[in-house]
Amino acid sequence: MTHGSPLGLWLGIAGLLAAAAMSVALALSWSRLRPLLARLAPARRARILTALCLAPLAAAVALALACLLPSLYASLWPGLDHCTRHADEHLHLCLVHPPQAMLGLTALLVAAAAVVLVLVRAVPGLVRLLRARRVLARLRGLSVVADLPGVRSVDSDAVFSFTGGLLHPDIYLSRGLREQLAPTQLAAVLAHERAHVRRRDVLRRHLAQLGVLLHGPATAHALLSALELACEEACDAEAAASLGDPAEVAQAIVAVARLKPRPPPALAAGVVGFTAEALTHRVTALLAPPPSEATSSRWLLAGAVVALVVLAPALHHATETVLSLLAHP
Amino acid sequence: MEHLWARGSGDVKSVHVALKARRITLNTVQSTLRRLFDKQLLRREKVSHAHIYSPRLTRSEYHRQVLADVVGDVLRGEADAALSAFVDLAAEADEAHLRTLEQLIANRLQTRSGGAT
Repeated sequence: MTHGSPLGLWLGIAGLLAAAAMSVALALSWSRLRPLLARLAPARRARILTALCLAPLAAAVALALACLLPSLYASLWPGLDHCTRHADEHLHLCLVHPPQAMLGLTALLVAAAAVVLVLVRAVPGLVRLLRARRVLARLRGLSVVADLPGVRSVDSDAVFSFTGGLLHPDIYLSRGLREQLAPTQLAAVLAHERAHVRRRDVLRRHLAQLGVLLHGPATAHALLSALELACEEACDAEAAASLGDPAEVAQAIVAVARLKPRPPPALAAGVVGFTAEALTHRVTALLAPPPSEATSSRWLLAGAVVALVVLAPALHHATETVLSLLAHP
Repeated sequence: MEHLWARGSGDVKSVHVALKARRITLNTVQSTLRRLFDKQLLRREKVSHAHIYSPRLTRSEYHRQVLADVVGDVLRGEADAALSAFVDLAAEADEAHLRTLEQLIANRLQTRSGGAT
């Protein structure tokens, strides 16, 4: 009996193929998906966009699980043993009968290159995160607890308000912004930031950034931009519900944007990009009637899990067949 | 810095004595004071064979400077990876754009108040 490449390596290759297939499928369908997503309520859109960012990773894990499920079925009921149904030379993705085929050198090198590429793409994001945490830690040390619940006050003339921190986010509010906003505008700003804290948007965005490492650069950028906007709109909608008037939140958004330094008119065309477009989207979304909520995402998730369990043997066999093509002859 | 703000000035030995509880060496104190001098946080004058160090900034001036540096880092986007801002910290919408948005809101409010009457 010969020993083949370890089961973990074959499952890793299967996962990479699943991630690549999901990534290509999303890249090809994004132009059709985007207008459909735009019709959804922002909170739901943000949930779906987060799922799409993580879809290649989820596909990889789901396929690896689907490949292992028939082994578990067989241990519960021997009649379901899939390995007895095909010839010995066929690749086995099985906990009981380890794979006896060796992975071809070319396939191994391509897989290793893909893994290295993903790790290299992760480095700049990791460096940015470490730098951001350092800056935030310094700002936290220099800020004080404000007389507003959950808010840290920064004694600066600069105009800003944000939610900072991955696991235990805080709201930071500058003295400059607080002094220049009307009470209702300040209430809108704080309701928006509290929605970010409740929704854990900073953590969500970071997980999405990790997930899109398995997408192509163009799809990754499009998904993250759409997710950023959806999160902002979801917080605007929560703030509007909290204040009871979406127009007050819209006024606060424009008021804060007006307090920021503006580029000279000659440069404006070159400077105003996503942020200005995002302002328009947020204000018009607040002024439009809210979209109706459709089916709950939980039902979709439950359907996906049931499909995975039922289709596991078919997926398992198809994966074995595809991976056999990559085996050393 | 805390010691020098409290005492006004001091040489390496006096700072070392004040920080004795931290169990740091005289050399560490000396190099730290030299670095603070290089960063222009301290001034020094030579008296006999020793350098006497004193703060260039008061405690509150120093805190303001540090805070301005950190806020500058935040506004330059150095902390973007770990925050969500109410309006993008780098947002620079031009006047015409803002006026259009204000007009949109005004129209909405006008329509609403018209509908209410």
